[in-house]
Amino acid sequence: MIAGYGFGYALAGWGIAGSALTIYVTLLLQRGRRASKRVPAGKRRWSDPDVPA
Amino acid sequence: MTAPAATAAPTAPDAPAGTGSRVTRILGVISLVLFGALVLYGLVLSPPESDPTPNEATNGGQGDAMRLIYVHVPAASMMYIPFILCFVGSLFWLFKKSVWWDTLAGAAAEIGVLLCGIVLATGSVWGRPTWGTYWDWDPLLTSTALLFLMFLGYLAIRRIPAEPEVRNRRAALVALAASVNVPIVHFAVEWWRSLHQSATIATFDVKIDGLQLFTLMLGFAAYATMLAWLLIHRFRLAWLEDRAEEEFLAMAIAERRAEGGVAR
Repeated sequence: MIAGYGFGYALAGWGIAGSALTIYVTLLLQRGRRASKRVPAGKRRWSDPDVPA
Repeated sequence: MTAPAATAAPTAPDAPAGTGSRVTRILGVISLVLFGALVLYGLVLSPPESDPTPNEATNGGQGDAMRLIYVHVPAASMMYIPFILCFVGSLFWLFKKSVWWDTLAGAAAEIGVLLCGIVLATGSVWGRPTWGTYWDWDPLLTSTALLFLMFLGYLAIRRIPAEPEVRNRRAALVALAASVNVPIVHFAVEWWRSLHQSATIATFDVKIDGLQLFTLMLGFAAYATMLAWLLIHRFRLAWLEDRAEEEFLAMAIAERRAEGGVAR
């Protein structure tokens, strides 16, 4: 592949999308681990549609 | 709100240590493989766009700038899903008053804002080599920017301290109002004259073919699996954070009662 017209823009766009997703995923996993430590093991259920407000 | 270290919950060997599970690990691996393939095909193997009538500005079509389609278009298509989920979650919360629906709405909105931000940023970078500008007050671009700001506002409103029911109702009403913009964004190129091109892939009118089409499909698959992964993890995180806050409050109340000598 020979980089032609606009390849720099393509790389910039891919870089923005990839960086944003990577940073968000990393933070999401970190926050998940932190939140887990603060909840008793028996209450770490994630889907109970009947819990009232 | 961060609980002090002394209040950390006891752990059990079989309790999940995060928001992951077998399903999300499988989804994560599939997503990573698809994104790896997308990088290979999108930046290396698929051909650049060539134009049979090259002009001075582009020196023959969009050239390699066209490769932005593989990250921009799938993100633009997938961003509707979390916004629609937020709308549905908010609507159901108003009817059923169940925390589950509010949690879903909040989690989905955050993912929608992330994808919308990616769409705006990659679209802006793409605009420079194709339109000669990073930004234009075009109907599609403007309504997309508004959508981004409205749901950013929705996320801010969710963070304003209030009684859970008051906060949830306020957030749900804002989400319903912001969701009106979703169809406007989607149909903007059809309803108004727009600098932005119409859909690359409509039901019966595909404008690209061959390896480019395959790579675009790969982009859709990669974004779809990643979206599922993100939604599941974000929902679980919100659920855990709510439970953690409840635990913290219960513990704080118990401590205050103990200090005051009040019998439980």
